[in-house]
Amino acid sequence: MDGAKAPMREKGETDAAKIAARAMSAAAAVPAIEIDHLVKSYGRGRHRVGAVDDVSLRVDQGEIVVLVGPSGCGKTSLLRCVAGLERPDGGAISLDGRIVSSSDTQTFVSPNRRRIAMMFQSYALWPHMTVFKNVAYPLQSRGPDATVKTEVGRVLALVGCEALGNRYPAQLSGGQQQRVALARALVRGERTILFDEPLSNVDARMREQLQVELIRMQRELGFAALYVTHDHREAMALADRVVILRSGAVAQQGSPRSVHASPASRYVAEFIGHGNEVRGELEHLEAGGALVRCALGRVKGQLTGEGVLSESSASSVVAVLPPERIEIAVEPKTGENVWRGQVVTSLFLGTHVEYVIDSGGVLLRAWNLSSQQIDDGLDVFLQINPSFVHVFVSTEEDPDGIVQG
Amino acid sequence: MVYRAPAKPETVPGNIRHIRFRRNLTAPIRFVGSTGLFGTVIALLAVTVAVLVLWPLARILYVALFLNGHFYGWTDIASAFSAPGIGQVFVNTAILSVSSSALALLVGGMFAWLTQRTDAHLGWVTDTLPLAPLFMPAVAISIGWVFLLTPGVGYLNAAIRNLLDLVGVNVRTGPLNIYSWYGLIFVASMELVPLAYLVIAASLQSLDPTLEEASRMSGAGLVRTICRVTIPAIRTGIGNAMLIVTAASFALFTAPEIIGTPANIRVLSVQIFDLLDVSLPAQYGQAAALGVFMMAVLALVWYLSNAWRRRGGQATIQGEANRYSVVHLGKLRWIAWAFMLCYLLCSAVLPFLALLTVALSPYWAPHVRFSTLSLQHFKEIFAAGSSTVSAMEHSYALAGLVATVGVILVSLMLLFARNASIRVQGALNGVLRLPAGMPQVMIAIGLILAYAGPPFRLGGTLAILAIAYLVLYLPQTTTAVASTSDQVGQDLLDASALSGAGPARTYRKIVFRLTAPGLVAAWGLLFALVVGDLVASVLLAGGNTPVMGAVILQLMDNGTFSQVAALCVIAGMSTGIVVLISRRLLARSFQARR
Repeated sequence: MDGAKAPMREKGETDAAKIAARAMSAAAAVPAIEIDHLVKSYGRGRHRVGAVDDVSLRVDQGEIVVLVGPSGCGKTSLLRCVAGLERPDGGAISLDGRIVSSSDTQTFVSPNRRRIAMMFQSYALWPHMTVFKNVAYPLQSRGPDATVKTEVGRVLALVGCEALGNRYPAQLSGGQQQRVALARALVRGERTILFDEPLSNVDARMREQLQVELIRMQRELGFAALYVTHDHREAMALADRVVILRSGAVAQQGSPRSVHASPASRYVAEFIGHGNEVRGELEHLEAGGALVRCALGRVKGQLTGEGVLSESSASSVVAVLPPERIEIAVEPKTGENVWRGQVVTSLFLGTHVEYVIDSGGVLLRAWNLSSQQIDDGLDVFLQINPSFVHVFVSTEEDPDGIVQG
Repeated sequence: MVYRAPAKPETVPGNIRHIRFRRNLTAPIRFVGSTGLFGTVIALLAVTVAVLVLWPLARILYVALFLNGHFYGWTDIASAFSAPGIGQVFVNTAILSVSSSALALLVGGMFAWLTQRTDAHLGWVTDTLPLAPLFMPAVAISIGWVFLLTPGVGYLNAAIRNLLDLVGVNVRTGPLNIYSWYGLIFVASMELVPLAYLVIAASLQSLDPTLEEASRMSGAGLVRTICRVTIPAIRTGIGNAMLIVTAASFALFTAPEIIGTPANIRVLSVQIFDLLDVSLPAQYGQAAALGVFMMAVLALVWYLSNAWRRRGGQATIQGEANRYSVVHLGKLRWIAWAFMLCYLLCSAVLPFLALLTVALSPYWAPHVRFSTLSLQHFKEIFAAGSSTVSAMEHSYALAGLVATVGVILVSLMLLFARNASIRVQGALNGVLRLPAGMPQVMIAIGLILAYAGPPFRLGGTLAILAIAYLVLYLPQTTTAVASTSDQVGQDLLDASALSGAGPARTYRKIVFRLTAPGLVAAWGLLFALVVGDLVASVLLAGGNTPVMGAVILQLMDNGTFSQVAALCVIAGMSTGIVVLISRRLLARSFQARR
């Protein structure tokens, strides 16, 4: 990124520009991972379950792509197909331009011959070997012992575990085990590393610490990463690009900021934590915006993406209000998107207070950062800028309001 | 920007169907290519084992129905089923089967609960104790009890008579008689307890203890919790155990032969054995007919067991495993331990002492005169050139060989099965466990029919004995090895693959190292089973290839009790030490660490 670019840009666009720049410089280089129309299902006959449903995806050199979604959405199956631990039923996978799996040409390269490393949710450290032996294992077939020793020492120092070489995994804490697992994944210097929910088994504080360390290490070493998690916060924190999966298909992908600002469907909006959903009817369409009539009253919001809505047929819609954007005030407010409500309860979360407010029979959650205490039962006024409200189509065939072109 | 999933072209489903068809055609080539040399070798081994197991079965069925190419079957079947007293034989088999399995399940279940759910648990001691009948060959235990409870000359009977004399009650013979229904059921149940214990204990081990904790927290007492929560929760496991134990009891041979026959209680397995060993010429056709009937019943039992198991419904441990919900018995622990001690005495200590006494005495008499004890009989059986010495040499050599080959073979095959398709897994498991569904006598017949004559001509050689032992004890080996290799998480294998190690290296460095203690325990078990084997040894041993089981039975029939006792003592000591050491090694391994 050079300074010749225009300085005043929206945050979301800066990220997009960053990615575009990296992509342009990497355009000559092949993608680290390329997945093409991948299909994978389990079971036979009546019990056949589709896990991955025609997914196409790419991870560029040096990029972290996070696959995120609830249990059963196919993210782990997808990752395991890339690793070679599962055979896809259709489609192709290439690593660094080399086809490792293809149903067309009947190719399948076994996992030990793919030039990738992997980190597991359960750490998968071999209990009968010391930390040193665990980390040295991938180097077994290489050179003399002296090289192995220096390599292992180098990578253990990188993760901050130099002193643990002679211990056994059972003697380490969870965080230390995960660091050793990371060291093992890094020791061969592979350009692509797969992560299968590595931080799910770690407690919350250690998780945040390790997230930062992971990002730092990735920036320093520059490997490409395909990372799977079910935690949307972790996804947003780590990703250069986040891919939200649903029932085996991609629901949306993009930079964390863009996904957060413009979710493509109610499913995505709900998944990334825009908790408040209000159903209503479309009253009026404007340029890029919509007026919704619902239990709250009138809600004005944005249509993210192209919509097939018409005022003539009163379409049912869903309006999604991110709780962190709702302003709460005791004094009356005026303007668009103002509603009255009553505080039902509040949750003190340290960094902010989350209020549950009843407005017109709808329970809304709203975050308040100020230290002002608003008691239960008080009447309050809520306001939210229309640009933060997302409106999605909601039909019987398509209750999740995936915006159709 | 909004991402839209690419429109699915109509051709894609068609493409997939097309591709799957192509894949099937090139499957074998792809298989070799993708699994490499190591995988192919294992696959070949699997096929060999399958042939070893299935070919005798095929021969039996053939002989049972067709003899000399003609459909002779019916004559033989008719004679077999109309033999004198055959009705009584069926009844006896049913009675023995039901009663001994019931008793074994009760005792085994109680042990399982005591060791898994109460504070009567004492580490590896209480874990291993219910398996005491496996330390000594079954034939040694049966003979030991004969020495204890024969009406006139039995040691225990003599001791009881002395005790009764002290209180003024004068009894001439007995009072207990091993050659009776209760004697037979007693010894037969002991043979079955280890099996019942292992199945039920495994069930309890994986049962979520929070279920019982929830019951206790809701105010239910101990008994109510057991009846209302524990037992129903593991009813799949119990049902499974019931069926496995019943199947095993149906095929029991040692106790019925040693104890039942002199007591005039004939069961089906003995009937078949007599058709082969006692009748001249050996009635293969009739034996095969009865054997096929037995197999049909066993097949039904196994089918029910599978159907029951597939009903599932057992609540397994979620999340943090291995937390025991321990019931504190307090003072009652001593009763539990007394019970365990009693069991140990009956299943191992007392029989062994009886055998030792007879072996050291000049002849078997109810009163032991310590001045006359000597090692004379041991010297006799170790006399150079005697059939006993060759029997021991052959048995131990075969045991060592078969145990080593069997354990490694099964371990490799289970590894191979892990990554194979469901169908291959099912087929392999079926083949490995098939011998359990056939009475030992049947397997022996099958092996005779398959390999004794042309083109293999292995009759009367050590080779056919080796094959027999391998095939006969495949299920036990599989169970023992599977329980240990199942504990190697798939993650550990995946991590090895993703670290660049091929299947061979993964096996050597990860699987073998991790499962080694369990493999050693399985080795010990298999060793003990081969040394103590009776049926195959008698039917397949030739004049030049005596083995211990055959010689023991011969000597028993001849009445040379002292030498029998000496042989049993040697057998019992050797297998006991091997099993104890191997299980102790397992207890101290990584896998046992909780």
